[in-house]
Amino acid sequence: MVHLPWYVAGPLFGLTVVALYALANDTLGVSGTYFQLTQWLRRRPETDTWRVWFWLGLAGGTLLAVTLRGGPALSLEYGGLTLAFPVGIATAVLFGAGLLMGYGARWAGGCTSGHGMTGVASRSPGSLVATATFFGTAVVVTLALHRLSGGAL
Amino acid sequence: MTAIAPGAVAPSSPIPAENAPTDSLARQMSLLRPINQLGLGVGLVFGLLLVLSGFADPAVVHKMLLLQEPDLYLMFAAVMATAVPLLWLLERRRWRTPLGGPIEIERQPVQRRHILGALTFGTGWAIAGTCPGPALANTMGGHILGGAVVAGLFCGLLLREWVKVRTAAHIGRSLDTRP
Repeated sequence: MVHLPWYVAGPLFGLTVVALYALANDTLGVSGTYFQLTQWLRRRPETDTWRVWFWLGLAGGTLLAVTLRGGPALSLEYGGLTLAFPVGIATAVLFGAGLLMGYGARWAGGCTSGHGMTGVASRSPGSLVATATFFGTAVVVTLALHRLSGGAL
Repeated sequence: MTAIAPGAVAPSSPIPAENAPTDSLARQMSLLRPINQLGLGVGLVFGLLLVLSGFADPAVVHKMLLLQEPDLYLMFAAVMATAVPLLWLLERRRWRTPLGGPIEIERQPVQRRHILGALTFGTGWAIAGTCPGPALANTMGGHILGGAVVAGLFCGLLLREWVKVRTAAHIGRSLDTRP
């Protein structure tokens, strides 16, 4: 499948970060929009409503792009995980991975977009440290799992 | 201004007091507010880009985390090459944003949470080959197991929030702002 090359996608992602700052003085971060969605569902008056709309836009935009490419197609496939494990175990592992990401993102105050894109582009020291840490961790853990599973993962 | 004759019943406030917060939340959510339109629009573009760039595919991200393909890193460099100078310029020009007042670029000092939270986050990212945006994209593409990641994300965010509130109540200060 043909993808937008990095030198097109990268600057456009960069512009989404700049647009939010330039138009609304706000920071772009996806994990924060997940959290604000839960705030809204719990009817919390302090909900950051534009972030709820961002999440809904994200869901709509991804669905639109998938549809443009002929999808969505229902599948139980998930790379090496579903080749190595039965679906039930793969589901539990993936739920656990999501749990770690959600917990870690709320703890660190951001994820790949909030710290990695917005924070680093703002030259925020905390974001630079968080980004170096999660990129480093992700590479080390991925390589370790690959090695330990004999290349299956 | 409408004058109300003495004795007349004031045009009754349609909201009973106990429902007021909910109603004001509904008003805040209105898509007539430009800030919500902006959120929706940027979210849409961000979602389109995630799928069209291929970074929503865990297999692609997995290869990059195995250091077999450089595209993810090059893409991040391209994000920075665009956003760093533009944010610098906006700040230097003391840009007045139409919706949020004078621009204030948020910078955080390094704190313990940046390292501990990122260690936790990075581990989950490695296992699933996807972070919060791509996980939603993957699910919308019909990958049912992507939904397990999304469900885990919601639970993890709420769990951390619960731990934070509980601990703050115990020690009298917020856990996540401690240096």
